[in-house]
Amino acid sequence: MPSVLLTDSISFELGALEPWPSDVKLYQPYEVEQILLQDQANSLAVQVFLRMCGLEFQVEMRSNAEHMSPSGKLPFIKCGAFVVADLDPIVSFIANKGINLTDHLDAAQKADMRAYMSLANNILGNAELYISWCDENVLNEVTCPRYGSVYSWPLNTLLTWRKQKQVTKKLTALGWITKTLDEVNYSKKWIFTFADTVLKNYFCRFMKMSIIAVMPLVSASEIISISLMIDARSWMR
Amino acid sequence: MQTAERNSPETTAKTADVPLQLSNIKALVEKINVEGLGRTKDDLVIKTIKELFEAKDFQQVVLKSQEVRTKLEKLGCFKNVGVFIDTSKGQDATSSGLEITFTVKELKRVLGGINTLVGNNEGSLVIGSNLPNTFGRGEKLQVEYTYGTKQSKGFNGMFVKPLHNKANSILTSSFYQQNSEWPSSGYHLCEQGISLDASFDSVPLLRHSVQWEGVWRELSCQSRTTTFPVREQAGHSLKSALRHVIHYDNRDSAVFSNRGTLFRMVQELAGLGGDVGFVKHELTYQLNVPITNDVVLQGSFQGGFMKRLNDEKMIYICDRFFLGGPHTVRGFEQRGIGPQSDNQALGAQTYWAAGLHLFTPLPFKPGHGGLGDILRTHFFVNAGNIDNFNFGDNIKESARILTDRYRLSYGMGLMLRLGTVARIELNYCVPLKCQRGDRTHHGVQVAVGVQFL
Repeated sequence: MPSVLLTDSISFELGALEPWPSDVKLYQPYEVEQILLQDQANSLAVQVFLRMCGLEFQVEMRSNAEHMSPSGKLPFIKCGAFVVADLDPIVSFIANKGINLTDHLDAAQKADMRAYMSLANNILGNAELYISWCDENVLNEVTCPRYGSVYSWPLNTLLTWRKQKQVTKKLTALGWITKTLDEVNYSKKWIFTFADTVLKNYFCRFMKMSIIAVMPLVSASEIISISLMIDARSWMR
Repeated sequence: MQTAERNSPETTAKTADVPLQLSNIKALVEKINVEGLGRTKDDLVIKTIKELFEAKDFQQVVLKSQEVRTKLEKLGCFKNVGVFIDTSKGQDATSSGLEITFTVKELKRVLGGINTLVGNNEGSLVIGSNLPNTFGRGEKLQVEYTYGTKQSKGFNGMFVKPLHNKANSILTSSFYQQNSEWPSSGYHLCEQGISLDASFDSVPLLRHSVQWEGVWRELSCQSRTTTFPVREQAGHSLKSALRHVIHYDNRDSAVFSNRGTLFRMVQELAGLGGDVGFVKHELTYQLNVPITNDVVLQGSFQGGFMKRLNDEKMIYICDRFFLGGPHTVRGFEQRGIGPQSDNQALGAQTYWAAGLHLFTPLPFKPGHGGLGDILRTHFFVNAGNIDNFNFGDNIKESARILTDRYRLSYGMGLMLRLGTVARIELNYCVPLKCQRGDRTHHGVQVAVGVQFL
């Protein structure tokens, strides 16, 4: 059995040699009835990144997208013979083809950028999971109906219960399970203020993409104000 | 030496040999004792031994008591049964009265064991325990854990209730979990389900089974290199299906049969609940004709047809038919015939496979009682076809579609019998006709299993 690391590195090397195909597809759960907060945020992030790189793709919605993904993370893209899931691996895969958004940054700035991305992922990503799966109201009114909408009875109840156990276990390990909703909201607000500062200082397109990724969390007015700010800055760049 | 015999002329006449006819001796069974009963219910025992009272003469008594003894042993309540026939004693006894005593030994409350099981190219270890004669009428409660050589694991719990009627009806309910790997298609399947079954004989040797099954299936890709059409089927599905099985088997042996036919038809309707919906028919037929004392000619046929129920329910890859391999059309890799993607089989909705075999004893004839009993040589010709055919209304056109682009292979080999149900085959196969995309295997193929084409 070949080692997974070797297969991945070989596949990335091979992938670098091929140009971007014209029939690349991005797979995600159904947008109207099924998709949840974190998956929607990640899917938007990947879509924005691909558009900013000028790469063509089509969005395909599947009810079993989560199980189709090789690592279980959403979204994933099918690029020729390669299936790559999650934002960071997709960015690396495309960088191997020589396309990226961070050419204008030096090594120190790139390191800082990665640190900020990881911070945003950790705090906002976990906040998204907390709100979807640990808050009673949201769980009963939004998450459970949406997650189980594509399965027939009794699978819808069974699988939703199973997923909730998994997410709760993960958040317990990270220490998030003991937070209250107020604490979570406070963490979010902190991140947005912090991100705004970073935007002002770095003009980093990459950061803009990740900010946009967490837009579904904020209210409509905040979305409009942040997007206007970003558009203005991108034209200035 | 002279022996003096004191025979008067009358006794000489009386001691002339007259063959003793048991059927001429009038006998009546007046009393039947059953000793050793514990938890077995009385009404079941009475129902089984009642026919003994109908015996009119001694021969009938002896034969019927043997039959009743076999029936008692088959109830599933007793370990062994002994019979004792005696003249009846006591106040109500008549001169020709008989008293029969059955001494039974009941099965223990809990039995357990570790067995090995042979499946298709797989051996398994089975650890199980069962509670025989649970409520006193021959019921059985059984729990088993299976671990196979191909990393397939599973357990099942089963409750069997025989009804002890003329039709030999048996009701079974079970729940099970089964994990299996299918590297020839690139997926791993986990099935958990409940099944209810009612089997009965409509005429002797023809057994019907009506089953309902509810299964939760989880299909996951085995590796990152699994082909995309199989990856698209990954996930959870729920199948709720009704099945009817007809089974007729009058062969003299399941493994090395010399004569007889096997006929088996399965019809399945999935879609009453769940998200899997199809109608499936599958047929197996085998005919054995003895040519001389040791040489047998066997013809066998398998076929299946399935159709999607409606647009809302789906057919998954684990429901479809597959063809090819040492158990079906020999000379091809496992699942090597039919629609493939990246050398992984996708399965199809219609197939047929036919085989013609000639079984002969070993060339140097070691004789009975030795290797000759368990080893045979066989020569075979296998053919088959599988695809998602589009049949029209015209029968001739449909027949042409089915036989167009068929596959063919031939070869010879050795067969070794394992016990009474399984055999090992060692064949040299030559694939003769195949289509583009098929995975052929020209050479030696080994197979262990129960069912072969």
